Amino acid sequence: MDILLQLIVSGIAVGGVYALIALGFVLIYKATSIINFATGEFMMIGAYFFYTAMVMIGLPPIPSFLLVMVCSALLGLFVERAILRHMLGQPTISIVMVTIGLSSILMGLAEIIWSTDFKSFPPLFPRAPIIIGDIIVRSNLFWGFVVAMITVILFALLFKYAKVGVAMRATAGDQMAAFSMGINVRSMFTVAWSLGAIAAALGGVIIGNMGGIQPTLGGIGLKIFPVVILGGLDSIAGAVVGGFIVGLVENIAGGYLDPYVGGGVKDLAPFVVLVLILLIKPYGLFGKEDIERL
Amino acid sequence: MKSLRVTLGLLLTLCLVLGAGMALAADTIKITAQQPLTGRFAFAGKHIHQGLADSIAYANEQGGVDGQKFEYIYEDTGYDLKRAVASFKKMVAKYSPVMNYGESTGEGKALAPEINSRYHLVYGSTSFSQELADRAKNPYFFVSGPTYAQQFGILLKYIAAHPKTKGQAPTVAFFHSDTEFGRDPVPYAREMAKKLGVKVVAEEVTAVGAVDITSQLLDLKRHNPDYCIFQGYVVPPIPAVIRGAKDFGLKTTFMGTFWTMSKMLLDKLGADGDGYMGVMPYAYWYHTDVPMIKIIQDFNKRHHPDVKYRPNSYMQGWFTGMVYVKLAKMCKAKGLPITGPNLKNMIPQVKDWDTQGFAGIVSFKHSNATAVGKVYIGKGGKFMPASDWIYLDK
Repeated sequence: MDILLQLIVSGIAVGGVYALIALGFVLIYKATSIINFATGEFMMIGAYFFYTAMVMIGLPPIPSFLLVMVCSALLGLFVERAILRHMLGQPTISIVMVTIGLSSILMGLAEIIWSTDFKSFPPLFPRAPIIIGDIIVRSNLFWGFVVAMITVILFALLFKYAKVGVAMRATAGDQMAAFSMGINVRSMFTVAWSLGAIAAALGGVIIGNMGGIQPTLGGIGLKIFPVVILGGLDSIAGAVVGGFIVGLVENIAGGYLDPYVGGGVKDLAPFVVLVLILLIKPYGLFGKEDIERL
Repeated sequence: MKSLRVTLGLLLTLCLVLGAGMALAADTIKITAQQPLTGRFAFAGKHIHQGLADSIAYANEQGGVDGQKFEYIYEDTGYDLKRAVASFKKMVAKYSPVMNYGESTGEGKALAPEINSRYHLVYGSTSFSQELADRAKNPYFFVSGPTYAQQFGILLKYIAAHPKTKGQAPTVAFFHSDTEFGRDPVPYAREMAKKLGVKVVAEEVTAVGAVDITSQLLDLKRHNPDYCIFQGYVVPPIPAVIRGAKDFGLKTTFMGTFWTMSKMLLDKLGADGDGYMGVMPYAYWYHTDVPMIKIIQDFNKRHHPDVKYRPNSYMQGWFTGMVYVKLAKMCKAKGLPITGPNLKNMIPQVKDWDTQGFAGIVSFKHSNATAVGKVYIGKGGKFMPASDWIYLDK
């Protein structure tokens, strides 16, 4: 029973971090209908921004966080304005290829700017684990979860109550209607890319703080893909629920099945659950069902 | 007319200079290399490349092989197998090398049939693969140190000699990545452990760069091993496992093989690195009592005055260069021309080679790998010897 509780708590903690990175996918898809395959690299670049601010410039953690948000927003803005805007109206496959190309470019840039050496931050959180009864949660995981959840809640509030959030929701709902109501749809695209980049970058800082950073860190972005598909590509609530489901499933399956089969179940289990859920709900748990009438 | 004569004169001079240059180049012993200078292995590739280049340059400074110099020609492959294979074929066609350095286990395995049957050149690489060191299958290949399996063997030998509780068989867990690199030594290690009386109580498997390792930690806690050996990682998730194990109250001693014995990992571990152990085939940069390290430091002082540290991947490159030079010198000493087949025949004849403290006393005995390493322990951010050289085939 202790083991199950331990696995559940850790699963929830890691699921929260997954949810934040998944938000990076969802925010962009929701507003622009583009699946950004460079989300993992946005995450990696965010971690390097943090490294630059904290280690190279020597700023304290909170200003470093703020700097990451500003720089990531600018990166999102630049990518949208300089690249994606010119792809409007192009076939989906071309846009997908552009984001895949972008991921390679960002990885190459990271190698050039920060080198290929492994880097790590100074400790951000107290070293001591969090102990709840018999359950132990590692410090980095617990604090990572706290930061991720605060960020997710802030994003949710922004969407619900801020003017820009309402405008983004309107754009996502019906671009033509939003346009006719005076919303600058193009600006909403830029805002979506900037917010998506911020979410991914903060996820990158949390992951980087757990294991260190390298230009290949973005590979974790693909691991988040089941989370996004599971929750529904265009649903913030879906990203959060999907994150928790994947975190729980991989932990429980890993904890109970890995010892019997020699490992590997932990990484496989989320995909099995993904397939099962998609068989029942092809648009994900909270995804918008597109109906096209011919 | 005068200008025509001047032009012809200049052309003739140019031809003579180029001709002399080509003649000189033809006289060199060519070593080609496909180096992963960019891409996900570049963190090590650039140091391996520098170590190999420096080792060969040092050999040339020492007069080469009876005055015949080595020529090192390399290309970046971005750690991309297709690029590496294409680069190898292009370089072989262009330079006709007698030795080559490969970027990965993958490249070695992909090229092995053609190297053995067609290209006939001696092949060293970044790899510590058991398969590539198999002399019967791949006589042209050598591994610059013990294979991963042999590294596990060395660690298990150390563990068998250092039980945590006297009179009780030591227990060990293997913690490896779900990759070919991670799985490579495990079957051998299981057998070796049985032979040495070490009990394997758990095998944990994760993806490289796994974010959460709680389930593996809980399994480790269930089995509470005396030792745990990592394989198939570079840094993550090792710091998380070691810290997590401490949080869970485990007294396990964690160990690693070549790639997990780096300064990068110790830097990331900080104070938790004290007591982390593992096997390395070479001496470290700061072991200045080792004669070969003194030579390396002196070479770097003269050629790279800004360099303050060279990692273990640099040492791998340097040692591979030493092997190339050794094989060429052996050919020359026997009066044989320096060709791929002759160099290949020298590999099994390397016996009791004193590497001046750098990699023990090296013999390529039963396989084309050195089967020797030293166990080191992390202390204050450095790896210090915890054992003497441990020979698996003695």
